[in-house]
Amino acid sequence: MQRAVRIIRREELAEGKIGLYLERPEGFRFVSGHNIDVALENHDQIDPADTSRTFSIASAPYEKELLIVARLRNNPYKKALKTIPIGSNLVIDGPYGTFRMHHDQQRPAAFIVGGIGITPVISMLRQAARENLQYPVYIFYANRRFEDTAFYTELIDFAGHFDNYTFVPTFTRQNTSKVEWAGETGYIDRPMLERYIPDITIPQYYVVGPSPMVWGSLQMLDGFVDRASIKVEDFTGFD
Amino acid sequence: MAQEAHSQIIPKIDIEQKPAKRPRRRLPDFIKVKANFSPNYFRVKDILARNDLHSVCQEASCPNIRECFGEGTATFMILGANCTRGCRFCDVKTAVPLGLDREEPKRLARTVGELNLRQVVITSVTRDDLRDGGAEIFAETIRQLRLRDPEVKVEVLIPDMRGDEKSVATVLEAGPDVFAHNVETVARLYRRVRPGAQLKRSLDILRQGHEFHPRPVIKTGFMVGLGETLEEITELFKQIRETGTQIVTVGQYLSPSEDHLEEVKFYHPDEYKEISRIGYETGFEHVEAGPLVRSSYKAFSQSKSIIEKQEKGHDAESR
Repeated sequence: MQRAVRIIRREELAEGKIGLYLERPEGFRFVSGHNIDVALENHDQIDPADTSRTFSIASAPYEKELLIVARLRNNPYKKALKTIPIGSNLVIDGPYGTFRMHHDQQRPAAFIVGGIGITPVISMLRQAARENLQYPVYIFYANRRFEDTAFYTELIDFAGHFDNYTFVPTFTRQNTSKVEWAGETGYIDRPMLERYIPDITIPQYYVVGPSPMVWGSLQMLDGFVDRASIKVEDFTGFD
Repeated sequence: MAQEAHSQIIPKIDIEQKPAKRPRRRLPDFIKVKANFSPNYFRVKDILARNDLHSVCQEASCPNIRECFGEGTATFMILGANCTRGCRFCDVKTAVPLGLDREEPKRLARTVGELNLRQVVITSVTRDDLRDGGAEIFAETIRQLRLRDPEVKVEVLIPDMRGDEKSVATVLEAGPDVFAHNVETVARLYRRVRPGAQLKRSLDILRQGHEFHPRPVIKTGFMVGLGETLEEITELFKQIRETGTQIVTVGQYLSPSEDHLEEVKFYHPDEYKEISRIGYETGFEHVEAGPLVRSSYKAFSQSKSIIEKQEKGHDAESR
């Protein structure tokens, strides 16, 4: 169902990544992991044939506002999203998607995340923390540089909510960063998982991010877990 | 103690709360299908289940399933029942595929024998997890079918295989009689209807099929009722025709559930006559348009004469 929603505020969450807080329409219900289509209609900068994009909802179902996060790119849609006045309306459609957290809190959740793929994970963790669900949680979060990393502080802070929580940021082009970093670098691979997860065959895995990262990670996971233990969300087309 | 206080101030919220349901829509009379379960319907269902095979008729909740199964035909869906894409119109399950079944081509060929089919339509889920998108299994399926019956007519309806030319060529080299890939909708609606897909990529696949030698019959299909205009349909016909595609199917989009896109419009049968007229005017050899038309529905009645014509042409060339 399509609904017009007002933009409440805009925030820079990392270099080249903006968060848009949207008014949540009356009766709009969703589950962490859902996504929505967001259309910028009647906007003079926009190509009428290319008005919408899909975004995972980064806010949790309990929150009053809807948060979407856009990676800024050099296309008319993203440029318009960056400049559209606060208070303007967007048209959302949804929610859609099947990416969901598992039920068994005894079973660890291991998230393998690339860049903007963190958004559905933030929604899941916020909701789980709100409900005091005690999943053992491992977050492996790859970005090019520290400066590109959205929700870094919040992801550190989740340690205060979950009894067993491990957050592993990693950077693939940290040599181009101005920030000193002594932690993990490079892509998320099996040795990295083994350094933090005592038994890598046990968790329910969630792989979310750009297409090559998602399908590459799936092949890596194929080496030690069956596919029923893997959920993926492919951010193909989220340009 | 701290935890107790925490749970007192935070109300318990159901993490699995379902999205609000939209009102049930009423289908126009010209779309309603009579529930007619013939003995053949159950026989086909049983044979597919026994051979651990899937049909798109079942997985995508096709409205014509009773008719097709009743006539002893089915459109096989290979490469498993889990699709890696989340198209908003499609009822096939989105999930991580559970591996690769290399015995499926042989089982399918055996089942075709059991069903006594001389014409077979094969489609598949999208397999972004496989380097070749499943092309080799498509090709092996065609080879196995021909091994059992050299005269069998095979139509393949392939996913976009991420537009990988080598993968598409693998399927073409196996020699399907009809090579189909659906464009599904008009350019403007792509992001909403087929996230992760691109119209240009789909058109390039059709073009590659047309340029292959010996050329199979090239076919595509799209849905209406998703909010497209007649001008956009006309433009899409032109874009498709430029690829050399010969057959187009056009049918009403029917929302499989409340988790899918809603129908924006139900086209009246008279409007399909106009769509069909525009299609023929654009230059297609066959246009199948109607409320319940689906890509694989009575597939070989659409392509029979074109296949025969092309076979004669190929024979003449090889002499």
